[in-house]
Amino acid sequence: MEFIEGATPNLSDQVLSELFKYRYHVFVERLGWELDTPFEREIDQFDHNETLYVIAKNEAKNIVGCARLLPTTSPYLLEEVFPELLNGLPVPKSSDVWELSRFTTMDVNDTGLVKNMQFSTEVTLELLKQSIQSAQQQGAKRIISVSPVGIERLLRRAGIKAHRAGPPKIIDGYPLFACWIECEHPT
Amino acid sequence: MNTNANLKIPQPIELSCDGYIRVTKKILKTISFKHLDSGLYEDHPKQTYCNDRQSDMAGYTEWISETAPLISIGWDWKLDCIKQPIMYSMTGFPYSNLIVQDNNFMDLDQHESLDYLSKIVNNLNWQGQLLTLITDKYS
Repeated sequence: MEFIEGATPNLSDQVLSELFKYRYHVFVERLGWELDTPFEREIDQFDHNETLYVIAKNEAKNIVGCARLLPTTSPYLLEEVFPELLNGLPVPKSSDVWELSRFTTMDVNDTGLVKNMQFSTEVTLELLKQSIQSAQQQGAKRIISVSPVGIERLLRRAGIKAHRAGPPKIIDGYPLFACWIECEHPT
Repeated sequence: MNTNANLKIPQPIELSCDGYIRVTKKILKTISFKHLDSGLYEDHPKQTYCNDRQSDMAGYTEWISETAPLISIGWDWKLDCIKQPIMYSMTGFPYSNLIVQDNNFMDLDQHESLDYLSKIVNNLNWQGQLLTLITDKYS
């Protein structure tokens, strides 16, 4: 497993193209999210020069996971699209809070029975830890994330302190919730 | 002399800035919860039928309080048809935005809080509702 990390200006056009194509396969084709995706690339207003990416590649150099990290001092997904998930609290705007979004470890080349799972366990924990470390290096003490409820099992299994910021809401048929993740001790 | 100086006055349910809601055991016992959503985990290895019933299933269920702000409790469950009677059971501790406090308004540690929430869950009599909900959703 290889991890590539960097902000947009530090990643090659090829890597970014592969990433947005991978996200299209996962979120639009497999998970059925209704997103505006011209040219079969999943990219939105939160993919900009400040955005930090963590990308997992397997031995065949195929992308098998990705994460997107955004500073909450700039506009971010939870703030702009899902503020109601915070149960009435104001959205965080702080240099020590980063947002994790577009997190997936789906292997789009896997044709098995669980091919449409957003997370595959083997890669997920490593990518989570890499993402937390990357956020920490940017000064994050906590991460806020819009996540499917299953992520809590993975976080607990990994020993990562996390808790829900509010109740899930059913969005496009799936229960999503805002999850606080502590950045301490990502081992 | 003010004899009420040491009395703790119960506060309305409030959100802390860390996103947690803190309520005492005493108050928690008075709060009712309603079902929000339940489903199967797609990654569970066995989704089979046993004695005409789907068995060896695992999934999640989500419940919310009828308070403002909302208290959220979710937990994983499994259905094992080997045991009789066939019954849903909670696996692991629940997930929540709640920290349980003792009756002196002191936070329980996370393990104690989740353990207490497990007891609250067991008193919800959720298994019967879940049978209907899962059957309706997936049949």
